[in-house]
Amino acid sequence: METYNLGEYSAILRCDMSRDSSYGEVWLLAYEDRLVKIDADTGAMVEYGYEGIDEIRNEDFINTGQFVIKKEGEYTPFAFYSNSVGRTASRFTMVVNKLKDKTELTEDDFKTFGDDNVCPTCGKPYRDPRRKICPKCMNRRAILVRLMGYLPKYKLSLVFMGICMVATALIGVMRPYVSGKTFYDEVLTEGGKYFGMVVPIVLCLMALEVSRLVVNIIKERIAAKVSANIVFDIKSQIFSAMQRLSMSFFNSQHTGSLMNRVNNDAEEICFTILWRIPELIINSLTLIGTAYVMIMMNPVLSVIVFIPVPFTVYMMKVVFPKFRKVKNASWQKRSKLNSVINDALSGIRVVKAFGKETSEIDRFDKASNELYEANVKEGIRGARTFPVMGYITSLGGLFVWAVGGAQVMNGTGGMTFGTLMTFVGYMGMVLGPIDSIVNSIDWLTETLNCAHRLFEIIDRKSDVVPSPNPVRMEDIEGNISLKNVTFSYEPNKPVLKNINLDIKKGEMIGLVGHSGAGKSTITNIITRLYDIEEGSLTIDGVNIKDIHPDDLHKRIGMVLQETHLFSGTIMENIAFARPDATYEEVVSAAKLANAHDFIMKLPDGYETELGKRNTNLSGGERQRINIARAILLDPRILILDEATASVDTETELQIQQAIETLTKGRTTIAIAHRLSTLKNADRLVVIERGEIAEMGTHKELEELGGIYAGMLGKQKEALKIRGMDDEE
Amino acid sequence: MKNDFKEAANIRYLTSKDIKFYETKGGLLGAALDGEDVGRCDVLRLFPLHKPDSFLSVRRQAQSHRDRATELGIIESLDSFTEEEKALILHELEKRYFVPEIIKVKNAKEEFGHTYWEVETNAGERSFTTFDMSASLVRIDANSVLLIDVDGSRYLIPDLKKADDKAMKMLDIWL
Repeated sequence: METYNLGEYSAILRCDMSRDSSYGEVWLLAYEDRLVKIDADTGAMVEYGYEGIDEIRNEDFINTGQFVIKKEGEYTPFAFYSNSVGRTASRFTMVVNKLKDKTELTEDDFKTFGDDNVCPTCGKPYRDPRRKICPKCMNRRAILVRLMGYLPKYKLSLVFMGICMVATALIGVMRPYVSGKTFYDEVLTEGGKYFGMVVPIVLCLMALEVSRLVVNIIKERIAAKVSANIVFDIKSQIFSAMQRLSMSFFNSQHTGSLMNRVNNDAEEICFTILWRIPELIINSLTLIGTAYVMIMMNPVLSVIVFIPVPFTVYMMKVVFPKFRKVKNASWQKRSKLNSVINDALSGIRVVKAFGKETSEIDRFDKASNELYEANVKEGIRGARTFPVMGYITSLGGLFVWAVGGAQVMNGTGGMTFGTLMTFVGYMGMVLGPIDSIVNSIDWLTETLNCAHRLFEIIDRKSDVVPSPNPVRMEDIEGNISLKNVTFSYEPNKPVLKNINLDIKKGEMIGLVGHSGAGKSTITNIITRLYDIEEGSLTIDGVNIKDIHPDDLHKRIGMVLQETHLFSGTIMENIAFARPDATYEEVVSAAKLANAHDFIMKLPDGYETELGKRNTNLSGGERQRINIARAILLDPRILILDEATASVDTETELQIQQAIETLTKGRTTIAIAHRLSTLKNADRLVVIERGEIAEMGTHKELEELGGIYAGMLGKQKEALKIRGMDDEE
Repeated sequence: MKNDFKEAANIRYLTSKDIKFYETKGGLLGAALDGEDVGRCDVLRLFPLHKPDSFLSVRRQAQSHRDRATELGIIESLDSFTEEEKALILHELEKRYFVPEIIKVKNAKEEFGHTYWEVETNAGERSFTTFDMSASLVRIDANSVLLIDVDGSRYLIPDLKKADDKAMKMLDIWL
């Protein structure tokens, strides 16, 4: 193997493919003047000087990708990688191109190279980069300890529960002893301590049963109460953690699925803490107690009692999973059948319209048949597994009878009939606890998994961090200034590039551009749903990151395309941002928003409970309530993001009127696809691929004959086709 | 009137009469359409699982950031092309649709909903992770399945009948 002196390189990448269709190990090193490729398997080294190279890029395929050099118009592939390197590959390409063009590198360029995809404990990359768990290093004990952190609040209840648990175990161990040894040897045998006292001993047994019942009821009552409290604690902690998080958390797909599971997870955890763990403790105590008593009485027979244990453990670990698999398979067939039924019924109009009833019936028959077969298989497997298990257990019992019986007859080992009966009683008490202890591994793992998901949310830091010394701004005037602003949701894919925009107070700006151009992103950073990475964003000359969040949100109002109303009354919805508003203020806001009249048509007026029967508001009505909400806030800066996109022309007109009242004297940033909506704007800004392409008044831009003029032309044409004319 | 929509769609089906393929200096696929050089081309499968070598979309690459790739036409069958051309196209397809076949599962372990695989493939050894088996398995036909890992890479199990116990243990209930 060759040894190279690698010197000072700027970036390094490990590619996991040696050719386009085989795995291997190839390293790419980016220097200031050249790119070097070293094949770790053969030791071969190739250098590519940047001179004469037009571009270096990476092209992604299905499973893999390739690095390509473009030189004199010709593309040449020079290295390959699989999807697991893909993310880093595009980052690497960017760095190489910056080196080639002699552009200065920033720390951001190296973001995904570094530590965030590597487990901090063992230094290995995460197997699943979206879920930052290293299964090897996950500290199970730490999670468990942290879970137990929910308990101290309920110390007293738990102490009671503990006492109940010990009592249950104790009574459990005592019962067979009393009904066996004491009853046969002391009561029924001549010369016994309690000879002939049948009734008292039966009463004594009854008392044991009753006390076990009482202790159990007490335990369950405490557990029910504590478990409800703990679920509440966990859920409220998670909910407040989620509210605190920034938008980027909610946008990532992965966390969406995380949140769906929050409810189940919290309950699963609680179930474990309060039912399964106590059960495990009781079982362990019973087992220890039973074993102790048995060994004290007759060590030889004790060993025999435990003979079937390895068999049951084997059954649990090997035979049962197989059975579970069969069960699972039939469960899957059932859900498949359900989805066939669901498909056919919810799509019944389509099925009938295309005359496909017969083929749907066939599909059903097929799924139904599969389920039938799976069920038969399950039945057969079950019929085989359970009797065999029962047989093995009873076989152990026979051993006890045989050996114990012989001992009683011979009088060896101090064996009495009572002792034998006690053993028979204990026999049944040993296997149950062992089963549950063996099973505990499974649920413990599952619970830890749940807990980890929850802690992931609770521990997550918000990307938008409030300033430690925020500036209080009681009065925001509404001058907004963006300087060289660059922003990306995902590394290496800038959505906004070098945006420079000064908006004066009271000005109305219309943002125009194709879908995905970055219009909404501009409003997202002005409202600080996201923080910008490069450049500066100031409001009245103060950096947005330094403004106290309360002041910022009090002074920025938003009307969005999605009209979300909360459950509650119309009054509460309008007063959402200002719960202290007076009745007069709410009514005035509704009036200005053209909402007053339709609200008055509802029987409960402003106190109409939304979401109840007969209170389905139309899209336009909901939107006007949103506008009333924004009017009531009396913001200095107003953002209208496609506020009228989802309503008909008539309603749009009404909303338009409402908006005109709203925008007066406020800095307004409006986004609209229908360009006619923006006719009142002082200036229009055309965004194209994250950059400002054109800026000016409607008239100026129309005369410019650029992108805006093109969009205007297309819309006019479309309206003409629909038989409408935009010019009023 | 029956096939009017086919005309309306106006898809161009290409044969060797319309398009000639050649190897670029960089070893990639280039083409000349109607005698005119269009430079570097991509070939994509319309039905990658069941018709890997027919129904191929031929696309001219985007020339700049603002440009979009354009479809030159669709090849229904490679029969009319020369052996060299076929080899070039097939190599290009193999590269783009590279999917390793799992020969042997050396280790498969499930933990926390993730399954960790260590396998031997026809392209070398590999370890990967799948998450949520029901969403990671694509059934191609009665005997073959695709496994999709957390990075979106695919792995083919060409014959379930020949698959080893370790693989079957993980896959059984999902099939």
